[in-house]
Amino acid sequence: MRAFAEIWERVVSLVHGARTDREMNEEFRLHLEMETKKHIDAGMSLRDAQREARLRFGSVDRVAEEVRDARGVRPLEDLWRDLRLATRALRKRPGYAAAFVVTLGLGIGANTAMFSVIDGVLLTPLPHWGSDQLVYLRHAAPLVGVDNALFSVPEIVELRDRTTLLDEVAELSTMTFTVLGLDEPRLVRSGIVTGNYFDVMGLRPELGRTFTAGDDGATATPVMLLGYDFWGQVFGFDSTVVGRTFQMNGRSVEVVGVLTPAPPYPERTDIFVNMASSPHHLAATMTDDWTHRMTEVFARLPPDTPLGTVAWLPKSPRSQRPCGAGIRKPTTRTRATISPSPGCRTSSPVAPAPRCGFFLAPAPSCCSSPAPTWPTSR
Amino acid sequence: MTAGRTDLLQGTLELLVLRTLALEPMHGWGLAQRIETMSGQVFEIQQGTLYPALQRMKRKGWVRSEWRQTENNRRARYYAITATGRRQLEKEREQWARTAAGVAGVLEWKGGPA
Repeated sequence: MRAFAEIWERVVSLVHGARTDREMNEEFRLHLEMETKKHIDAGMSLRDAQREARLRFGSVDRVAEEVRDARGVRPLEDLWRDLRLATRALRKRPGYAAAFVVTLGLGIGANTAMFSVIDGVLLTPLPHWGSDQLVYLRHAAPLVGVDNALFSVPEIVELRDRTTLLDEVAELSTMTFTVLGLDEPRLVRSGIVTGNYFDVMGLRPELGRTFTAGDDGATATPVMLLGYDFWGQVFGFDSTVVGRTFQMNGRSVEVVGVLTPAPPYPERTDIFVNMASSPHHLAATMTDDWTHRMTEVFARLPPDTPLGTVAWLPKSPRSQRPCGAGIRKPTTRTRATISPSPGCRTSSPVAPAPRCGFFLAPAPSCCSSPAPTWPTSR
Repeated sequence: MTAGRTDLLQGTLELLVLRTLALEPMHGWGLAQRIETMSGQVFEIQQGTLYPALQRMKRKGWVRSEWRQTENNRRARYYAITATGRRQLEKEREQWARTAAGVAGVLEWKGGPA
């Protein structure tokens, strides 16, 4: 209460500063007049009396300053005076002022940008549900110095068939296709995915449906799912787009839905299509070549799988085949270790795997001779 | 005004002001005259220093001030002691007495080496 009263008094003193000073000066003048009169009465000349009075009083300016100090309004008054002084000084030196403003602006801007990133990466939740079980797979080929390779379809088939560690294995590869039937022919970055891709990623449709197992296989109807941003940019969020058909790769591809807004990962794609929409994905190069590694693999772990679990993928009968000759199967044994990879807990578009990396580290290859071949397809 | 004298007054000025105001409310000049008279002209106080001291004491709640007419029909700020001020005066008076007694005891030491 007392502190409040004191603050109030200071504010009042500041607001009424001029009046308070005027009263103070009046008080001092009266004092000096009375002191002067006293000396005149004692027989001094007016001049001497005035001088004596001033001498006994001391410097009026200094006393006034000390009274203001004692009033406790100095900090606020000083602040105001400093501000005015700073403004004047800055106006006198525009170059310095500009440097000052730019420095402050950059500092504030940089911090704002940093907060935006932290907000996007750490604070805003991902749209992926059950991301605890979501893993992103890569494998390494140390013999040829590649430690982060994509997968070929035969490798994925093997992975799917022979490990019990993963509940669901989904595929994504990206290509750019020309889409006809829009306002103009348009190059569209497309993600070619398996029917289980969105279930594994934990992503829901904004409109219509995502893909299912029924969309897999060469004989399935070609279907397309629009990315949310692409839907907005090209169709202006028009919901009647679902059911329309566009020409792509010489086929009619039907729009079955729009994906919920999600960070583009691992690559930015405008739309998603099933395998049946992409001739390349139906060709033998893609389906049979062990070294044609252009597919990203996401998978779901059974619930409560601890990180650090090590799984041994058993020796494949097909690996008995001789190496080389077009179709190669270099691994005899693949060790899979579930480990958190750096930066994997992030949720921004720039981040790697949404939750954690699943890293397949191959044991020594069967192809120790003539050449250990682990080339990547890229 | 030497530093030495200022220090001497710093400690005692408030006591002197409180004691003087305990007589009756008065304005700054009157206060200065009274202190000089009552001290037998020993203290030649720099009269200006009274005002910051009064302001400090006002903030501590020991004195209050108001504008009144002087005998000569001039407007003057009169200072009066408050109840808190009187309690403070008693406290400082006791303290002063102890200090004085201590100093006197040392000065008038009649015994041998302590």
